[in-house]
Amino acid sequence: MDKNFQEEFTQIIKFQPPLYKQRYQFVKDLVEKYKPKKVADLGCADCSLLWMLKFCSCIEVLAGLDICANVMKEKMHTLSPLPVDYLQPSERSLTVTLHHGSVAHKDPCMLGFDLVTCIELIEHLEESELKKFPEVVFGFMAPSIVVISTPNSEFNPLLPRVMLYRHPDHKFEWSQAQFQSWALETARCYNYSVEFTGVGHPPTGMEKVGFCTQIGVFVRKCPQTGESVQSEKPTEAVYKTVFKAVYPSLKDEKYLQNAVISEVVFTAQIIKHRLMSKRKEYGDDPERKPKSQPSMDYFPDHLGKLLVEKNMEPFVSGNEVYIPLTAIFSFPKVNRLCGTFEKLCKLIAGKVALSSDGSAVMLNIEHENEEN
Amino acid sequence: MDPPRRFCPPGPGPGPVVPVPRGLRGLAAFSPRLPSPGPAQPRLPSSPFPALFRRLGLEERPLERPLGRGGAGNGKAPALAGPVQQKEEDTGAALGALPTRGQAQGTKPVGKGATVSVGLNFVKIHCQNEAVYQYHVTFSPEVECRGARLAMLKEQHAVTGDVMAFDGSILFLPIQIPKVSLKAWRRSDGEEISINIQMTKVLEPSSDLCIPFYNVIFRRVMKILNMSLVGRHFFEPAQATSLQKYSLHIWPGYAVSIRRKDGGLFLMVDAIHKIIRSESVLSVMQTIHAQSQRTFQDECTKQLVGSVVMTRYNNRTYRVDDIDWDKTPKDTFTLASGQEITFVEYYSKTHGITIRELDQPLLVHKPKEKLMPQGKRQLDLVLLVPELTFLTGLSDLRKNSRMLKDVMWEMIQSPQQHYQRLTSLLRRIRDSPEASRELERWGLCLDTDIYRTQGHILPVERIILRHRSFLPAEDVGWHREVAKEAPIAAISFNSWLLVYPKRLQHLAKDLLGAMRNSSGAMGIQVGQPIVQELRDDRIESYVRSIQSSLGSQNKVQMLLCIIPNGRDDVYGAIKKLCCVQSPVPSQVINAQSLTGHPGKIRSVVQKVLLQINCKLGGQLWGVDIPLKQLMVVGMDIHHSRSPGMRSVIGFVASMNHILTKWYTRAVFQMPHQEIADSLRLCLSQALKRFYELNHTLPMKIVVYRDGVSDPQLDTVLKYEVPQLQKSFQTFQNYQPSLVVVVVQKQMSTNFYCLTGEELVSPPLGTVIDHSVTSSGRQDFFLLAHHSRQGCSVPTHYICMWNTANLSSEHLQRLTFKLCHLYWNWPGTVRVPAPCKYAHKLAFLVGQVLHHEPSAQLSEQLFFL
Repeated sequence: MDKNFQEEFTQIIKFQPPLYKQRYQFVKDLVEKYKPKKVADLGCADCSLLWMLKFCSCIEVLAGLDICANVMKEKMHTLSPLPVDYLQPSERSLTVTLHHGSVAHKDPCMLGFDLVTCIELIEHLEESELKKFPEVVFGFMAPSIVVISTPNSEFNPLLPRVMLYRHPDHKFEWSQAQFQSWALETARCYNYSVEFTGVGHPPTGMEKVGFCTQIGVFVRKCPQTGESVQSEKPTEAVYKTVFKAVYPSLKDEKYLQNAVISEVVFTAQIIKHRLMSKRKEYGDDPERKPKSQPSMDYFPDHLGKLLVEKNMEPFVSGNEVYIPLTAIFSFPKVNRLCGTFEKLCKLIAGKVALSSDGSAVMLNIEHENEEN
Repeated sequence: MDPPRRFCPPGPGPGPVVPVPRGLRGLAAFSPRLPSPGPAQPRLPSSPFPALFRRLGLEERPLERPLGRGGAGNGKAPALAGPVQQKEEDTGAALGALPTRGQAQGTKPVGKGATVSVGLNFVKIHCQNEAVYQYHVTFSPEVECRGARLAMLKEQHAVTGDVMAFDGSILFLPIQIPKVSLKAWRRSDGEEISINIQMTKVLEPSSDLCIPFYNVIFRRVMKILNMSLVGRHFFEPAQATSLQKYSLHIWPGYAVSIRRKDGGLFLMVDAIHKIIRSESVLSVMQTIHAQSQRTFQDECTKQLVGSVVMTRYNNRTYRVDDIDWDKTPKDTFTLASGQEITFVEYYSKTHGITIRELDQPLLVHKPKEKLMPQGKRQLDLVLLVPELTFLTGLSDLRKNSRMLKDVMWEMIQSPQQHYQRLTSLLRRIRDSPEASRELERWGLCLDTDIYRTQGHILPVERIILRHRSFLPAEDVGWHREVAKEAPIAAISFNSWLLVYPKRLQHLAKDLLGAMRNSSGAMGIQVGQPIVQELRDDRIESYVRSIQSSLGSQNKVQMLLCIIPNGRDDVYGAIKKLCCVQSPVPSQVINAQSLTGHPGKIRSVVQKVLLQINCKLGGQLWGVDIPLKQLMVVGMDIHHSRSPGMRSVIGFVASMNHILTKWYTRAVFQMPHQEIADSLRLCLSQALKRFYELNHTLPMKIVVYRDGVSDPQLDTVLKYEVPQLQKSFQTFQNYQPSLVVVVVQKQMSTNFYCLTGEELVSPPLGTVIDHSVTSSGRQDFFLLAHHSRQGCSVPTHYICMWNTANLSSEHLQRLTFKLCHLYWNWPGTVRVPAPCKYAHKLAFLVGQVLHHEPSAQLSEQLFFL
């Protein structure tokens, strides 16, 4: 529960950055290395690790689980999308979910994850829960990677005021040997490999005691093919969902459409602007005082040339300017958003004024004059 | 402790009846007998914008420059024979008395007279708990860290229960617990701490002391409903409307707060919007660069400084105070830990954001001076990366009327739509078990609908012109009448100057012709002007020509200039010249307003003529003012958007008893200072002038003070009232009575009228002076203006000082009358005319002149 507190205030040994941050950074580095798409944090407490992970651009699904709903609720709103996220939705999709429940119970919502983290969790488990834990995490959830961190009791004599355990809720604290034998046995049983490391270096001369926090990184040996392996998965959900946030993303048609229309309208305006100022140069209206028009370094040269090609040339007819969609599609931003020309046409259909055959965006000339 | 307040349902109960002063009876005689209200008629759709400018804090279109741009307020509305509410003849006799603090029920008497049922954007909160219990909590040994105190108390929930509000020493609980001493354990060092909890007060659940944490609770409710807190309000960006053409998003949202009013606890809800650019400040800068490379930096400063930006990585908003062109994201800053880090690295590490443009300048935000807790140093500057910030609001939108129109169109809400958004919020709270539970924990229960009550309608005012008086038709104003009939006093102009550049010659010709045609009906004689045709439209040409003409021609009464579109610089130069250096009334007309069909030009010219008449000291129209020996004063303050600029106080005082002559002053004061220091000087000079003109001093002075927010109300009492009183000492044995009324127009209060099926705007002159008013104050809401579309936002008047013992009814009537007297608009405006004049004056001085205007102009409305 309060895994972050105890070490910060030690006077003899002070970790910089604080040990809890080092643990989070360790997880973050791991994420950067393996690029998992789906990550679950068991015992997520006040969600601070989840908050850090939501910025990792590889992650598309984040889940948190804790036995105490109130602790999760306190800061869960920091996991909501920011208002600005809606202005420029990102490419990736992201869903963050918080569940209330115990790591001793299986729930199908925890299936299919790439990485499961258990930071300072196991020492809070009662003996009965600890017994079920490997089966739930390694047997049932069976992610590619599991990270487990726990206090190293050998380090405790170096910490002032730690009588028995570092936190009153700890049910046990293991020595390096105890943790490693538990981890090796678990890994063997569920066909994982495990490597040991840690954060919080011991003072020089006392290297023997090991890291203040010991960490085991478990990697599944045989990469499973999909979710086919376990046959008897319970379909019954036992966790209660307390929070769910779906981030706006271009993967969502609604936001993609918005982004495409913005870009199309914006591009069309640029082309129109350019066309109109060209026409003005030839002096169509002696009454009007020549005005300085926005310069054309707006888009790169090669694009300007592209526009000259046939059937991409914008033209004026009556009170309207027609800007062929092919011209708009040649702009890299539009191109990247839509991928195909067909997709472009589909997305803007009915949302942008088009010529009767649907091949060009239609803009009114009038606007131009009023705007200036 | 607070005395118990019971809420009496409003109704025509037997209120104490006071003898009616003669003046008011006289007034009542004007009130006509009118048919009783018929079924609600649909309002005619017409130009929707005046109502919206107000919502944005923009003005009704001033006549002078922007005419023809928005097309607003051109009097296009056809005459509307709408239903006029019945006005009682004997309003005066039936009116209630002045409320006093000690009134038994704690509620204010309901004014009788023509009543109207009005809905407000208030939701009544019922307190279901008996009481809220306040406890004092001590820790021994002392625990310094507030967070630790909170955490330790939280662990005692077995004793205190789960529901608590605790600020570190004062604890509020919905339950009563005996005095206890608890043992706790400090996490940091394991020390044993004893916590003593002792009850200090039993509070009424609607007590003022509870309001702050009720508001905290309600913020939590809004968060549970998935709304984002931006600044002080909540928004739903997921429900945004996007205007792709302008790269704008409009977020719907709510402004909510819990307040205690005379009628009990209320939730005030307003359905609002936030406008935000969907492109970053960096791309705005790139656009500016593409358009004006040479003046790029100046242009950026002009467009960005003073605006509010939102950042990509948190919910916060910052005002841009400067741009640091020498810094880039590659520069470093110091973290709290003392570590030096570049902006690029910081955003990449903590927010996973990659800054793409490494050579952009940084935006500078200077946090307001705040008293920080001891030891903590205040952050000097906040530097923001343009690529990661987004502009909010409408700062540069005014330039582009089409954009403005489109944006307005999206934001416009009829009373019915506004109401639906409020009720949908209430429904969402009810439907979310978690949100409801949050309120229930404190025994708070929201009504399922908005608050409805009775208001009364002030009688229609008779408009007085020179030859006749008339009752204006509801909602329409008196545009027609003033264009066709003689004003109270018309000044003819015989010796005047007409300046225009050669290429606008044709416009000048049209203008002169139209002036001749229209002036006759108004009783204004327009003589042949001295014409100055300029070769070009450079500022120097205008200035030189005007200067030489003013120098050589004796007694130029006024000058009229035609300037090309969008030349604010020329406008500024002419105004500076004519208001400060060589004082002469001046009228500047934008060329665009003179282009169009003849009908449009005629109406523009009519307005110009009226405005010139005011500037020359003429008087357009009046209303009956029964109070004798009265002086009315209006005050407003203009704060500059650019930092370091001084604020300007506009001061306007009436000089005759029908309130059609005004004495004006504008004085500067230090930045963002709201207290008007130079008040004494202004008022004593105004009194001197009043004496010179009337050979007597006013015995009643009513001051309308605009631009004061709630927290500043006390400074009005503490500083401004004494200053005003001091000015009386200029004269011997002079002790007039003084009334000071604070005028608040940016109130998030809405009135809806409940007649008929749909909610509509209530009639003009609707007043509510009970239930939603503040306890212990003489205050009221008055809806004086008509908004053609959108909601009706009444103006809130708070009487801070009243030695004239002016009753609420008299004050309301006087206020409403004054709302008829703004000569730039032949209709009612939302604040009393002197306030509006003071606002215009302060705005011109603060925005354009930057100098005190010449004293020679102090008796003309030169700033219209």
